[in-house]
Amino acid sequence: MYFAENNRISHRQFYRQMVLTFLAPFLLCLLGRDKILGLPGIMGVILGLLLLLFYVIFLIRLEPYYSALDKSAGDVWGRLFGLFFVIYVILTGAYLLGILEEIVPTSLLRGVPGWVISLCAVVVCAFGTHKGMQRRGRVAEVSGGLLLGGILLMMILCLGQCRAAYLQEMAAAWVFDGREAVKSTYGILCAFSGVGLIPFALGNVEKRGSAWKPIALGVVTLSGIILGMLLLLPAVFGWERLLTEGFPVLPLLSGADLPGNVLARFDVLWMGFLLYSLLFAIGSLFHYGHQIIRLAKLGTGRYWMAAAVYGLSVLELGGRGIEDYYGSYLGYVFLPGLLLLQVLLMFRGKERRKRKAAAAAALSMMLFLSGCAGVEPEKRMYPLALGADRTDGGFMLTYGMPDLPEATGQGKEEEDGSVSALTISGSDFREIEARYNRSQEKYLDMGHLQVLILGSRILENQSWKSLLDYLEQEPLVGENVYVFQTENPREVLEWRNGKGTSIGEYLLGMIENRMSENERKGVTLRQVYHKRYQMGEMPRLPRIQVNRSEIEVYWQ
Amino acid sequence: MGISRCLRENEDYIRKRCEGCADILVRPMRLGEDRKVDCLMVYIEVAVSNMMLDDSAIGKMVNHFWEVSPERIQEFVSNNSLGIADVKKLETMEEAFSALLAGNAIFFIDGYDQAMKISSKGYPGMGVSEAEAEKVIRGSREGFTDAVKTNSALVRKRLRDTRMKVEEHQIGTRSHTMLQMLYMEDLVHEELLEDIRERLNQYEIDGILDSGMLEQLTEDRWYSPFPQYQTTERPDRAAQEILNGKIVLLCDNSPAALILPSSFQGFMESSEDWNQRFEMASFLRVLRYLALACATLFPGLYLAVIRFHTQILPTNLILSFAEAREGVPFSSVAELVFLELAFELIREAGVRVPGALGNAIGIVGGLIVGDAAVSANLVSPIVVMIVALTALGSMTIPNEEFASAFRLVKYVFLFLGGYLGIFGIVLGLYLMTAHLAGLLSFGMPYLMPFVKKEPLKGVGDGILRMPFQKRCQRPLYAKRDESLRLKKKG
Repeated sequence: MYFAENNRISHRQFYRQMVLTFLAPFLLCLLGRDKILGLPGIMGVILGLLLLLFYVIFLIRLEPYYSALDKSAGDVWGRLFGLFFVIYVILTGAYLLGILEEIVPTSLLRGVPGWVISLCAVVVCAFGTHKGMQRRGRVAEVSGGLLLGGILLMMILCLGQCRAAYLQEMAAAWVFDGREAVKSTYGILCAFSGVGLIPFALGNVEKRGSAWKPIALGVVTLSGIILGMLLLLPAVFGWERLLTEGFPVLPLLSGADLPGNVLARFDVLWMGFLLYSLLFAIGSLFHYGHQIIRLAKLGTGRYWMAAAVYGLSVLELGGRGIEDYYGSYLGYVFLPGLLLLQVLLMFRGKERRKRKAAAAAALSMMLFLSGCAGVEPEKRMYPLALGADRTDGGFMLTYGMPDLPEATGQGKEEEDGSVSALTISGSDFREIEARYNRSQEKYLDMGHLQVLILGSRILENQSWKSLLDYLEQEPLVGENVYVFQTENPREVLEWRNGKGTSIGEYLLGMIENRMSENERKGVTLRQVYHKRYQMGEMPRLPRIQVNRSEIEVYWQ
Repeated sequence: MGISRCLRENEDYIRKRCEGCADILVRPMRLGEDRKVDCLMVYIEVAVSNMMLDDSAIGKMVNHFWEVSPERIQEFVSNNSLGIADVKKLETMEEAFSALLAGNAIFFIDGYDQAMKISSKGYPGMGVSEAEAEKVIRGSREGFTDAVKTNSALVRKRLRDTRMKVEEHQIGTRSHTMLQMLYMEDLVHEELLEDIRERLNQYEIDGILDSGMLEQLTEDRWYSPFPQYQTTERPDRAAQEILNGKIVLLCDNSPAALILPSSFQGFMESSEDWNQRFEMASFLRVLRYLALACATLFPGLYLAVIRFHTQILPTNLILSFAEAREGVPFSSVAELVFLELAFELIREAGVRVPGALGNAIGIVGGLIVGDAAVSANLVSPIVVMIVALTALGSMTIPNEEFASAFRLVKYVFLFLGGYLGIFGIVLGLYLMTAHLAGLLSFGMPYLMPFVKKEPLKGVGDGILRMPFQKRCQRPLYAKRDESLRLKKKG
């Protein structure tokens, strides 16, 4: 048989398409604050999985009715049903695009406006989605395995950060609540409601009789990953902190290290995997949207569908966007409507090339791109240590900078005569940041912060919590930063040893170059967050003391 | 099958078996006084030259037949021919074909149930030289030439089977360029053959002067930067692909043969892969894929990391980068584009200037431009390293056209990484995968064998090169009922 003579995809392509489509949306949207978490979440996933496996068999039987909506439901009803699905496609696309617009500028790409991000994404996702199913299947087949493997690898690498004690907190916090379990189950069903579009694809799947296998396998794989995440997240963050995180999967790897120190952090790669899956999900929605529009004889959605998705994603009414409405739409309108419609369909059935546009889009994208710019590495300040203390009028932050020629061994002279420690005060941390931006030439890059040193005054009252709030919403700050306390952070940060090593590197060396566990008693920022959310207090921190020209650390 | 006394029967059999083999010439002639004795000379056009026929002893003997009476020819042959050193008696058709395909001429005489092999030295060297663009350490040193008939003979030399057909076409209303389509009759999909024939006749053009023109004229997606035809200058590679069920298109006046259908994986394979041990061949293939990623993504990733995601690099490394860039007047994007273009200039100059000067260009480019630019603080040393590694990666890709496509795509990634960070890289990867997934080469997905409908056992055509014993099936390009390519005897 000549290979591409039909427009069918294999089971493997179908399975990978399903996994690739649902993976990132589930990880981002299902888990976190006010979402599915903990033991009720685990129960919900298991119950949802069982229900979904039955639903899959029902879906397979629906395929003939979906493939000829006008015949199975009548001309008008067929179009209305089509419209029902198209609305779902557009709203879901807008919701996912909204998520993308929210997470990319805050967690990955500072300085690029969200609307540019979503515009780029919508142009790329709409590319070629009106074409045959095989193309989509091939994209999934090539990248699905890699992506799934990458996500699983990242989850495995994350295991090193898990703590059994944190997991026990989740068990301790659990009181059986049937309502919560039902809510979680319904949440899982809502999340999997996209599976309701699968009968539109089944017409293009080979061996339709056994097509339930890849669907069931996909549901099991995805449920397995969600279950894994439901255990991994509390084990990494601790229960109380998890309850406050909107997208807990994003900082999941910000404290993980790769062996060999090839990369200092790889949460960016993790984000890359999630983004790819998210783009594929939006692309899949466009693809199925086109198919539904064609089957329901609603014309063509080639341009307006992408425009509608983009428009809805950026539209805000009264300060509320699609993200605020989508959950209610899914839970109260789409899922009940879908089930009703599918039952109706079953009963009724028993009774009877435009390259210019692409070029223009690419051109406008490049124009928008010209407005975005990153900051060159030499135009950044890399504080390796941060000192924080309370002053009479607010707070004081001292940034400990590395001495570049010393640190790199390169002989170039500093043009601006950079300082080793920079102290800025303000009434709160936002003001300090604003003052920094007003007074300093270089961009403040907190991505290489290694040590946080708290002064005794900030520890005296609860004001250290404001500092933690500030650091927590700063995605560049890794959670593997070591935290110390001292009397006067400024004095410590201005200290230099004979070799010119900065305090950040010096303290990091003191912790990491000790082989014995007893000597490595560093407290990381993640542990500080955990203790704060769990008990509302600061853990005991190692104390730094400057004795003449020596720095001494007392591990408490 | 034995050789018949009746020449007509022999001729019918030979013509049937050699149908579609335009390189095998069947020449009937009448010899003897009054030209009453029918004879037949069968030979491969290029492998057996006319001069060889004239000069050989049997050739001289055949020339003498003009003077012999018909009744005496058979007697003359039996008395004289076998005494000649370069003549061998052949009793069966199998022997005759075996000798023919080894590059000899076969002579049949009516009423004589034996054929004569007129020995040549097999396929002569034909003055071919090594394929410059596809050098190997272990493997044949022969490369295609400009003459299409020589090229088909070079393939025939490797595939001595009349099931390998050589179909001739002419294209170009003024150039009348000869094309030859080489394929294994029983392996190739008929639909593919028809498709290619249709495309060759689709356009009327005044002249085709190289296979590159033919390639662009007949490919599916003219706007794609990725080549949809694989080219080779190596007859052994062409023969290997024919055995896989593909079609090889030879164009007169061009040393580059086109292989159809082509695939992503095919472009990443080197002819040498089949000659080396599987462990090393597999390692080299993986290395080539890494080189491909490096050639495409390295500049973009570098920019994404230093401009947006500095946190992923170890602190000392990013501080080194920062220190190295101190005093450079351009943005890192401009710096990288500048150096990449400088490298392209050096490369282009190296290709154009005569051989000995080419090396000098490399030295000028590498030492003077690179070193001087760093000394003058126009670029940072790390960018020179990035460009050098990218260039090395690009040069590691075995197929030049394929590498060129990625050289272009690299600039897209460079801008995406430079202005949108990792998000831009992910966008680019998604777009490129979607584009490649949509590409077909004569009905076959470009991303084969990564996108096959069913996992095929025993094909061994993934990234890793399987041991020969494990590769008992042909790839999907061949007809499925002829998929077996290796089995144990007995």
